[in-house]
Amino acid sequence: MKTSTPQEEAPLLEINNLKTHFPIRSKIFSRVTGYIYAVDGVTIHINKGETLGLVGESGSGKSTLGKSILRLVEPSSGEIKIQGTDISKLSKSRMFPFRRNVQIVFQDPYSSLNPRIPVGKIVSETMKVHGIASGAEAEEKVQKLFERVGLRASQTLNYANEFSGGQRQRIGIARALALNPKLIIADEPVSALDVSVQAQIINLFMDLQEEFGLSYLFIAHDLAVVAHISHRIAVMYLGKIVEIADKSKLFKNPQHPYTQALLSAIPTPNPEVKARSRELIEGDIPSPRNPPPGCRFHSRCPKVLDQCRVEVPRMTEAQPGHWVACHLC
Amino acid sequence: MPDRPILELRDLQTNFYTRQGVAKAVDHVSYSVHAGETLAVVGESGCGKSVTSLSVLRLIPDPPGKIVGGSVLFEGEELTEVSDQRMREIRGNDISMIFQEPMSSLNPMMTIGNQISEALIQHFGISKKAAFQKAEEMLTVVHIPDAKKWLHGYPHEMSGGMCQRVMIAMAICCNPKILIADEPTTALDVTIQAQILKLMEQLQQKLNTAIIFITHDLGIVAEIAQRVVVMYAGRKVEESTVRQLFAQPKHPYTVGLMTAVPRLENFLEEESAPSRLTEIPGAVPRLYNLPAGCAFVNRCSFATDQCRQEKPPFEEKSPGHWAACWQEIGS
Ligand SMILES: Nc1ncnc2c1ncn2[C@@H]1O[C@H](COP(=O)(O)OP(=O)(O)OP(=O)(O)O)[C@@H](O)[C@H]1O
Ligand SMILES: Nc1ncnc2c1ncn2[C@@H]1O[C@H](COP(=O)(O)OP(=O)(O)OP(=O)(O)O)[C@@H](O)[C@H]1O
Ligand code: SF4
Ligand SMILES: [Mg+2]
Ligand SMILES: [Mg+2]
Repeated sequence: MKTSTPQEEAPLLEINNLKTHFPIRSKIFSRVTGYIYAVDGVTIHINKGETLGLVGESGSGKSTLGKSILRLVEPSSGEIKIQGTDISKLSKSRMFPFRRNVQIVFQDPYSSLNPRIPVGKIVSETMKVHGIASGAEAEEKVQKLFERVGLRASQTLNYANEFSGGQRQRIGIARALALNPKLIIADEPVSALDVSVQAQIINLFMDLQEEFGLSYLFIAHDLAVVAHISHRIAVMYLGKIVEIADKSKLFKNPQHPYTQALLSAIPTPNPEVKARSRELIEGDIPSPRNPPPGCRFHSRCPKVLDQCRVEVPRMTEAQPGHWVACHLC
Repeated sequence: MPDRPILELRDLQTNFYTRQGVAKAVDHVSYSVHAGETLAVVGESGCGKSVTSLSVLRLIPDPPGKIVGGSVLFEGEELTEVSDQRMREIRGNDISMIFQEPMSSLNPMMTIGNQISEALIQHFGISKKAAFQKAEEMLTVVHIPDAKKWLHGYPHEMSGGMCQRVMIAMAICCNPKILIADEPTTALDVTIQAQILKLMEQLQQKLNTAIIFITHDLGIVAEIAQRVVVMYAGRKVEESTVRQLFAQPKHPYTVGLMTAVPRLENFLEEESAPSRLTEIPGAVPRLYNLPAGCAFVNRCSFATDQCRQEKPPFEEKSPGHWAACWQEIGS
């Protein structure tokens, strides 16, 4: 597999300066008293057949970014181009045909699987709504899909609560695949699974990518998982992407102090390298209600300069394809 | 290391009696830990890690659960037989636990300051004022910024990481001899996890605490523990020093865990394209219908007929390295 696709092809997904701000309302007059800057100016692209990994701490805005791309939450501004068409301002009905190309898989598909409907029916309904197939044809397609994701065709008749966590994740993947999407947004799809089952699901994602030429936006907080599955990785902090690069570049030569801190915080499953000294960052991620001015990481950054406290660092290309937003780089 | 362990479990058995049947959640589990030592207990969801440690503290909900056999010796005292009163003393003073879910084990109606000082007043018999002062100190020790302010705050106002640190403050404020930490960092971000692991290490150095660290993360095991116990379906399947385990795992389940987990080191090379992981097929079996022989048999690539029929004994495969497997793995 190649790490990136040829230049001539337009990216499958292109996001420009996307912002999603949630209004905070006062209890009494429900007046807007401020905003949660959950996603605050994100620019990324994903090529065909490529996996972009998205990592960052809890509350950094990863899920909001994923949902904004699908307009499950409405972005405040910016562009979302799917194969060149900006869907961010289209009406829901005009967006519908584009929307089909992008599907989402959640961390806990259980909460998104109706417990009273057989799981096969949940998947065939999705097909019907999008006019892909119905009746016996849909049923047959669903059975094939189930087999493809490692379930038995007969299991289409069972209900969600009869499946283990790993199996439910397979159902979630089957449902996403039902519409022949080009891009799947996978939001922490293996975080709730045991190590042994996690490996099965990661492999399934990779096999499906090869078979169908899928692209993924793969969100996870486990850097090793993201490293495994991704071609490129974006690091997010408080609503902004702070670094984005090919994964080998990112790991070999992390530029942003936050990426460096993340990497050094990960315990290595090798007792012989225990003695490694680590540079820990202090404190918690600040609230996205009033993010620090200047560089958002400055309140925890071990290398902070005076400039960082006042001036927002711009994304710059430190090396070809390696982008960083830091005054030091 | 002193010869005598501070805590020793021998053949501990805890069952749950439910409508689906009897679950042997802890099935003849033995392990011990010495003062100043960190023992890691690893295994996947449902294998009995939490129930084992809750059994030590006699915190198993009865019904449906019951300790049905074995012994737990704490400094020579048999905990399965002491009075409830004595057990409460031990929980308050000698053995403390950081629970898996911080939110559910902190009292949502009580300020942080009151929760910590209550334990302190009971343990040291000090005044409320002194207890609050000490509570503030403890919060500072666990790196809660504005400790004084937070004394009057409530758990729901804190982030997950802060709650977990409050739990640690409460667990260590009475200088316990043994600290049982049940996945204390699983729900946290790695940067916060690193802070908490460091904190626990510092504490151990200062107080010579014995730590039992329950986790499913092999990285954490390598980083903080000296010895390790691997559990599967209620049983201990492997035990050794951490170095031995990583150098040469002796149980196919441990081997599987080690190869299934993605590793960062593998991605430092140029152009390292995505690659498949080694899977362990299937899933952890339900405790109600375990296979007759080895519980791992349906997922094991080394399995033979013997494995299907007879439970493998827990044997010393090489000096200090024990495993429950009929086959000789990795030797
Ligand atoms: N619908 C919403 N209304 C208001 N605030 C929201 C909403 N959804 C998310 N937020 C806030 O936006 C911020 C980013 O949340 P988000 O869930 O995107 O983070 P995340 O990076 O996915 O975190 P995690 O790793 O915990 O899943 C958080 O502060 C969250 O509280
Ligand atoms: N209250 C209960 N009633 C019935 N069975 C229980 C109860 N609590 C635990 N069990 C059983 O005991 C087994 C062991 O559970 P335990 O909580 O010790 O697992 P664990 O190893 O800590 O897993 P995890 O990593 O998910 O925390 C479970 O498989 C479950 O079937
Ligand atoms: S006893 Fe047999 S089935 Fe069990 S782990 Fe060993 S080889 Fe595998
Ligand atoms: Mg999220
Ligand atoms: Mg547990």
